[in-house]
Amino acid sequence: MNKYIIAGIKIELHLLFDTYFNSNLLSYASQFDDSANHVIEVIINQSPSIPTEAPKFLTPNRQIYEINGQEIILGVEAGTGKIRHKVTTDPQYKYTLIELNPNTGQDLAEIEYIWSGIVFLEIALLHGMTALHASALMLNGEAILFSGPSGMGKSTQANLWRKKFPTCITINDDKPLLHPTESGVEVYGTPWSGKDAINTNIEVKLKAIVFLGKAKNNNIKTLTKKEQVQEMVRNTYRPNHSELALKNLSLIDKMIGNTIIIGYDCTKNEDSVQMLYDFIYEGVHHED
Amino acid sequence: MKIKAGYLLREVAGETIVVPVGIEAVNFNGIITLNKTGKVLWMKLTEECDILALTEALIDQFEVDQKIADNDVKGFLNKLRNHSLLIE
Repeated sequence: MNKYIIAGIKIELHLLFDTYFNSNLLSYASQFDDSANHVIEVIINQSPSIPTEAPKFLTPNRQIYEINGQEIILGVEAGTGKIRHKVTTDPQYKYTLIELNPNTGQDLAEIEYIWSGIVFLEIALLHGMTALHASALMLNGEAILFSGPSGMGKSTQANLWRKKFPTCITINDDKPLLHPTESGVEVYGTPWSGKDAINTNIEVKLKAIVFLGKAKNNNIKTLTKKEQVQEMVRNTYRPNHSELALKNLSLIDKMIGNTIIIGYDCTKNEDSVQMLYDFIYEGVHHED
Repeated sequence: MKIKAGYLLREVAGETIVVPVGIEAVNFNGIITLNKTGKVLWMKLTEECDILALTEALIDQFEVDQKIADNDVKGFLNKLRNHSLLIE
């Protein structure tokens, strides 16, 4: 029970809510016999203890402590100082405890989803995978990722592709994992996939990453290496920890140069799909 | 003067970039890309140094004249100040 294999990572998840997972976790459930490499447990605690030591750093709504090799993150209600949640973990994320305070009026299911997701993305970095903020689709057995800041039309473009190509499978609608290997980049679905909770437990070879922008006309943009680096760094999950931040940069370094990474300023119309499809799959670049 | 702690400089795909970590990752929600001049100056500024040392570093490294080096240093320091990245 509670054992899952997500992107090849053996993990035990003891979660309390299904609101943001929409039963998707089931498709990652696994019955492996050995113990999991990582455990994430969520509990309700009306009064999480506060460390007596001084925090490593603090912001108005977060305090971070490092005590006996463990990291403790306190989510604090600005103004009242009330502890909203407490996350305790170790450098290898072998066991992470997420304590949720029910007395602060927060959406506990949402906080569970956010923090279990953050911890999982950091675990994924330890395993050589980075999370790109993107809507990832599988078409013809390959992955195409639409990325960019919120509001740039990732879901819109993905919806247009699903409409035009009904055999498209959604790998992950929010943060697919990218795993650079000797033979290319593998893309994985995970159960943390944004508010629509659309994801598939699947591993797919990457075809292209497309950074979207809004425009009145469709325009495919070749990105310089510098622009590719900037877009990848901006849109991948960025951890606070030095080692993980460096790991993320080294993964990006491995991908650039042997991956199709382009920009696409486009409309919300169906014709935007064809132009991009022609460019990626047929090598045809036509002007709108 | 020196660069604030909490920033990592790395080469990614041949580009020099700087990313914030720790509390700076909370305070500074961006990335910094550096050209060759910026990289030399940034690296000098990871330890305490003065304007003269920065100018000399540029002259040594790029064989530019004093005036150009002065301008580059001033421009770079102003950018760092604008983003509160410099401790003086």
